[in-house]
Amino acid sequence: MNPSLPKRFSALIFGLSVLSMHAWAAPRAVETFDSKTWPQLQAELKRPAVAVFTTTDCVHCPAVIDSLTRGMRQRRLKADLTVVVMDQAPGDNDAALLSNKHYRQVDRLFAFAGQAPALRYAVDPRWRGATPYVVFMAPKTPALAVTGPPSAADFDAWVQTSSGHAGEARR
Amino acid sequence: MNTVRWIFSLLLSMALPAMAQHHHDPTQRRPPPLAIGAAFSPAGELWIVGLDAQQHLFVQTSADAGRHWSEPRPIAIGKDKVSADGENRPKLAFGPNSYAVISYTEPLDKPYTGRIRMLRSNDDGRTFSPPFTVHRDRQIITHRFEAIAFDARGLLHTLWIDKRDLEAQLKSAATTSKPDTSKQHSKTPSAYRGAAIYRNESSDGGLSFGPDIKLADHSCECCRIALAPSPDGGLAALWRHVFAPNERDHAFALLSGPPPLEPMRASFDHWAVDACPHHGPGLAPAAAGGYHAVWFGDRAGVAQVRYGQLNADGSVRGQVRPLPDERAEHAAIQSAGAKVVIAWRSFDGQVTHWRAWVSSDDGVSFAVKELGQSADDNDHPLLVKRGEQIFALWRTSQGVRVEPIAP
Repeated sequence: MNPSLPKRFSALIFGLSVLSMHAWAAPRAVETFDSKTWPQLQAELKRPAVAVFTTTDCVHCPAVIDSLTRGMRQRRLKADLTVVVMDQAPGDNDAALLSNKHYRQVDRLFAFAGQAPALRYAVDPRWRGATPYVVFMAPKTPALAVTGPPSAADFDAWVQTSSGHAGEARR
Repeated sequence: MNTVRWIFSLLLSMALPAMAQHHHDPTQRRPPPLAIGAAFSPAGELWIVGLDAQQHLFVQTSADAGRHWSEPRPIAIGKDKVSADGENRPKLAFGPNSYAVISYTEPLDKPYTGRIRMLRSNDDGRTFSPPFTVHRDRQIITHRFEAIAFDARGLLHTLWIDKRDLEAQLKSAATTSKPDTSKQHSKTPSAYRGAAIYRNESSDGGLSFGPDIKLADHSCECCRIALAPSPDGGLAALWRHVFAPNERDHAFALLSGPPPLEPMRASFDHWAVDACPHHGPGLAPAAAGGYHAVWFGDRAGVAQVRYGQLNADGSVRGQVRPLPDERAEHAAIQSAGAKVVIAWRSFDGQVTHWRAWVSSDDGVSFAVKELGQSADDNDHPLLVKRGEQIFALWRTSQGVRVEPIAP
């Protein structure tokens, strides 16, 4: 047997492991956001979460996603970051969404499936579709919705509210 | 043996994500994009252009203002993709000498990029040329949200949102700060607000075009541009602008003459936000001179569609009024003499209402008219004009509805 094979095999396994871990860290699928999704997300809320509603042509949205990711890491907040794409249906071009570097940092990635006005209404009847639309949530606490980049005060208030529900490092 | 199991588990874990990407319930898929353009031909036929269920571009005509329609006629556009959702939609316009044009934004693979494409006809739309790119700038950057119209002199105007100045500033900043890392320019912060409005003109119905002309720096990046006839036979434009530092109000400019040093500010909602409203304005001429305008904005925390009047130079005239529907969105406006019509849609939690606000006294007073409702997916409402007649159009997933509004 070639003595270098075990080394090569180990390197291969290590490489595959790294790839695998990377794959697990990013969303693995574009999930369907239909009329039942938002109530379900609210009902199943067990720890703090933040949802960013975006579109593929929203130039302001990536910075908000990056900023929230960074802020949650810095504060070692165990919370879920969800992104909802509003102008592309699940199955339309999932590969493009899943390979988007901004979306790869989030926990769950949804896309609107159904009438956008109705889906927006279910989230907030006053919201007319401006993006980014950011909803901060924590169990047993009213949600806070922000159009555009959330302020540091918005983020801090959510962290404060969330502190009772989250203690461990997120990643 | 354990090693084999471990490798198998590892490979399975890597395969699962790819498998998961393809598991969607087909009944949950969004219907095809419904956004259409519409115009009356010089012969009085109503034309629409849109995408069919297979996302192919088609035109359809009606000789009786929407009561009966011809079979959809496919329009060949090669491998082009067409933006036909929300603020981006295919459009058509008729001009003199049997000219007809169809335009659309073709989204490119790189995010936020696109080019403005057009097809031309010189036989009243019986045949169309292959698509061509309208602007001279061929960078793979933002050229999107086009607006087209022939003016009273027969000149074809095309306007679009363009990011060449932003890109140039980003490159310049990268060169100044890091001369040998040119690939990093896209990450360099820029002081340039928003995008720009560019335009060009064609005097031969789209056969040739003049140079790309910058109309204004600092437009919003994601909203439609409104056009209306101006008294001199030219056109006026209204668009969402980013006024310093980040107020997303509206700006006005005439297209005749040299570009203004600064466009006229036409709304004062003072909506300071770094966001995409996805909600452009509407503009129509007023009988008493100046213009009627309709737009969406957030004023002191109240997000509404509002109506106001503008002087001939685009400056604000009189009081701004909210539409009588707090959930109104994507309003269109059209006028014919003293008749003014504003049409919008409004979702109440169950169905989408199609409504109009109609004035017979040049915008002094209005009355609400219920045009219909739908539980189906639907497009933004449109208004088209034939002579002094104004028609409202609304495409739902069940078809296109047409209602005569005025006279």
